[in-house]
Amino acid sequence: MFSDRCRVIKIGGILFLLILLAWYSNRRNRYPTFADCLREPGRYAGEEISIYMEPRVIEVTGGHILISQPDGPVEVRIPEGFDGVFPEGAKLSDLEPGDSLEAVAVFRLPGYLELKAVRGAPLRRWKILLSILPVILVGLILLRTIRWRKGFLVMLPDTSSDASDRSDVSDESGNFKL
Amino acid sequence: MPDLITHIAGAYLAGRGMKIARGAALFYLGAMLPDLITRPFHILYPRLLPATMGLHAPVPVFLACWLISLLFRIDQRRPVFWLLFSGSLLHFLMDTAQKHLTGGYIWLFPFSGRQYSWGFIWPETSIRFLPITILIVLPFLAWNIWRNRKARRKDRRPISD
Repeated sequence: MFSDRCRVIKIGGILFLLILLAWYSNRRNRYPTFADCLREPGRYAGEEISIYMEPRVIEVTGGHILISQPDGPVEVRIPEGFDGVFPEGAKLSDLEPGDSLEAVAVFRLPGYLELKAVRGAPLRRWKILLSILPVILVGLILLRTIRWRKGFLVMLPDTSSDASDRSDVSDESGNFKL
Repeated sequence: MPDLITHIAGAYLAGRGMKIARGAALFYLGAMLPDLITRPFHILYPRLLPATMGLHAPVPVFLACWLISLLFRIDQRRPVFWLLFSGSLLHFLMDTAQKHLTGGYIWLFPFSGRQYSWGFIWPETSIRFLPITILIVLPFLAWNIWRNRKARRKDRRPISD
């Protein structure tokens, strides 16, 4: 698995497998969209539809939520007495334009979506932005501790017998310090 | 998923507990890897979500760790792989605690499409707890930095005759 035998073929093979898995995932995990329901209303009548491709609130009124999707905005009607807001205690009025959300609806004939459950995720944007910080931090640490030598990456400190230098990122035992 | 700061905090504490010294940065990279190979794509291009959903699973991440380890010199490939993959497994463990209304994690992809989680917290809850997470990690980090500086000062002291 880790030998140099057929190394380039292994690398190419793994890349190919990953692309194949992404392709298979795209086929298997593509949930029906509102556009799919409108194309075949009889097939999807009464089915639960997840609105899932980075949905964001465009508008919330008393009667409907307008949600952004790659194919265009999706209007979801709010039924009378709707109580499917998560987490518990949250209200529809908490949803602001631009907020991320999760929404599940039911496709009804002749061709509209009726809200079944919704969860506002206003902190998602902060989650994405703050997650960039550890990527930068770990990236900087990796730049200090990994070198390119003779066609391979090498993790420092390099304890091989022909190492010509020692990084100052190691302690007295030769262990990398963080 | 918890945010990556929470993932790294968990990885840092786990790494200290397991006494991972050499290559700790690769363990932290592993703790972010499942998100790094999926999230940027579907956040920037939402239509890619169905394609990336399956890649956030142990089998594709195993392949990604193997691929990265093959870029290293032969004597380091095995430890690099295990550092990356164990960090990734920790990531999956933390993600399992979440609940979702839509989507979820397909742990046995490509062998099964079943989604499973413990359903304890919503994904953005980790942001609300971030100050507490940082307060927990900071003492360990500070102690480690102080210990390393003490060791370096000891190294530099001249040896008396």
